[in-house]
Amino acid sequence: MRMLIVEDDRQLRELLGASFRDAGWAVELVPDGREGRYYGIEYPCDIAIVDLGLPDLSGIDLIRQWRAAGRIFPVLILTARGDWRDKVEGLEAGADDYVTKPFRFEEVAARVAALLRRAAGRATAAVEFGEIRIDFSARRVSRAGKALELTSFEYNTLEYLASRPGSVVSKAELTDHLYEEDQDRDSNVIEVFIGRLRRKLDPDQTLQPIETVRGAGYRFVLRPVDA
Amino acid sequence: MRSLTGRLVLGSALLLPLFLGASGWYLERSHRASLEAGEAQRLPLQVFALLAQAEYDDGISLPEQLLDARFNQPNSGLYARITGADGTPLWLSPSALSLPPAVLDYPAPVLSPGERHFVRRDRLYILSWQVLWETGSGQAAPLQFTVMESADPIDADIAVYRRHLLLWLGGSALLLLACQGVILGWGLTPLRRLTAEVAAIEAGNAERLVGDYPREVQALTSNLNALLEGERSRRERVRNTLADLAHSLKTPLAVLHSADTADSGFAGLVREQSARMEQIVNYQLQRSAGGSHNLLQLMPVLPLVERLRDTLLKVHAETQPEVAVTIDPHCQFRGDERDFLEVVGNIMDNACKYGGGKVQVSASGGAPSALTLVVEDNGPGIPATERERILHRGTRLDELGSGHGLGLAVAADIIESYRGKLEIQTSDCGGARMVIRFPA
Repeated sequence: MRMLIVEDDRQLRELLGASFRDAGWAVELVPDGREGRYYGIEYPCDIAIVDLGLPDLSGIDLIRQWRAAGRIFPVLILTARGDWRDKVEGLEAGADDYVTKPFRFEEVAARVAALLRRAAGRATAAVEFGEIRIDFSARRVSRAGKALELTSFEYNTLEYLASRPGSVVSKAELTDHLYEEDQDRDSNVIEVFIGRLRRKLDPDQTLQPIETVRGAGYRFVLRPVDA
Repeated sequence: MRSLTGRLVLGSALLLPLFLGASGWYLERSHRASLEAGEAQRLPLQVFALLAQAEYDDGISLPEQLLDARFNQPNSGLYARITGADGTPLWLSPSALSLPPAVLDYPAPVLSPGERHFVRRDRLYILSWQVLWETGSGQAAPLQFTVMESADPIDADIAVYRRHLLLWLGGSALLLLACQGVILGWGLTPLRRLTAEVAAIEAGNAERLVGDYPREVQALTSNLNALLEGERSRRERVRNTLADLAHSLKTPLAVLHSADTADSGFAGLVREQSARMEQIVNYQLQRSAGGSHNLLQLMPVLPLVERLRDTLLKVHAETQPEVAVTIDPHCQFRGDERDFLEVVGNIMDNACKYGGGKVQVSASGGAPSALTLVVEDNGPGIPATERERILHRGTRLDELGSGHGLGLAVAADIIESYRGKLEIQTSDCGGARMVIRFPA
């Protein structure tokens, strides 16, 4: 999943970026509002973290411009003052939640996970697709109660597909959401990952969770089981 | 023009001469007009007298000694002349002999019989009257009687009149200026007093404006007093905040100073104490949101609460609390928007977080009278023994808890700065009922 972080403080930006990359995210780091506007509008994005006190364009204006351009990804705002007027204005501009500075990374990560869950329309952090259980907040996958060892990239691929069960996801869309802008991208790599995922999730080929749609992409065919 | 007195003095200095000059000019003109009208009525009588004394045989003739003695005396100021049809002089009064020829050569105007002509020429008023004299032979001889009277008496009269006028108008101008000076001094006294009071405040000899001021200045002085009051309480706040901040930071700093860096628990200690310091700084930052509510506007309460509700519904989308707002659209709050959002935001947020999922916000009264806001929830409520402690958590910063309900202490602080009150009660369904009272 791709995340856009717009924060003018370099240390904080790098720290957040490193922490989310460790957690398996493709992260775009942007130091000011103008660049933030460009990245948010021109590139795919699954969630954005925006500092309200940016030097050029205020965070509130930035969010407003994204929303005006029709971008609906969830936005988490960081506010330094933490007063309610900032929060109200930020959420009115189109943000979805706020975190007050200073914060712990775990707090931000929890808010991000909650926002993503909400955006995907999931009521709980963990979803069962038959035997396969995906815990989206802990980023763990198990089959029939047995934990599966997935690499970060494999998990990301699965998460993206499983967040859109039943819909076809093209290889281009997958690369767009899984890689950072300056990473080398090779759509053949996607095929390799899908292959590995299939072997790990379904070694005996009884479930066939990921279907290849000729010329279009992939589809996660399992349906979530209502709790 | 920087000074009010200067403006008023300049204004009247420009207006007064204009006004008095115009009236002087008009008075003089009408006086002259009435004098000249009198002259124009007197001269025909002289013509009548001459006609009565004249005889016509071969030509016109008058007695040696005329009835009006002035016609007989040279240079008397009253002269007469009779001219024939072609304008040649037929007779001159003896008084006219001394007149310069230019005057006597005054060309007789062409008039029809019975017509009169009155004119001023140089220093003479001249009346010409054309008559037809019926001679003994039954013929009519055209004659023009001209009577001239010196304008000197009238000019002298006018000169005297003008002198009097000047004296009177000048005198009243001075009187008016003096009156104006007195009125100005009296009218501007409150402003001078205000200046003196402000100067006293600047010098530190006074704390507020105490004088009883006229209506026009009252608004200014009461606003000024409010500003001074607010400024003083703000200063006090800043001082208190700084002192609180410094004192409360001392404890964690002391802990860190005295800690053993080689100890294995040092990292944990640093983390713990920095968290404590962070909380202290957070608290003071939020507290400082309140404060400068002096020259405040009125704002409707309902839209503010609705904005908060919408924000909270978004933030608490997970738990989806029900927030019911029953507030009259005319209900108003007098103060700072930021303060209101901070107070009600914190309290409503707590109700959403710790309540049972149902929140009820209502209001009664409203500016200019006292405003009461009530936020209730259906949660577990707050035990009576805890209430005092929660509200006064802010007074001893080093006792700050884990952050839960920190917002309440901040809200209570801000409400207090409005001389209001925050009460914690139990709602009808057993949850917490927060009553916010802002005074009138």
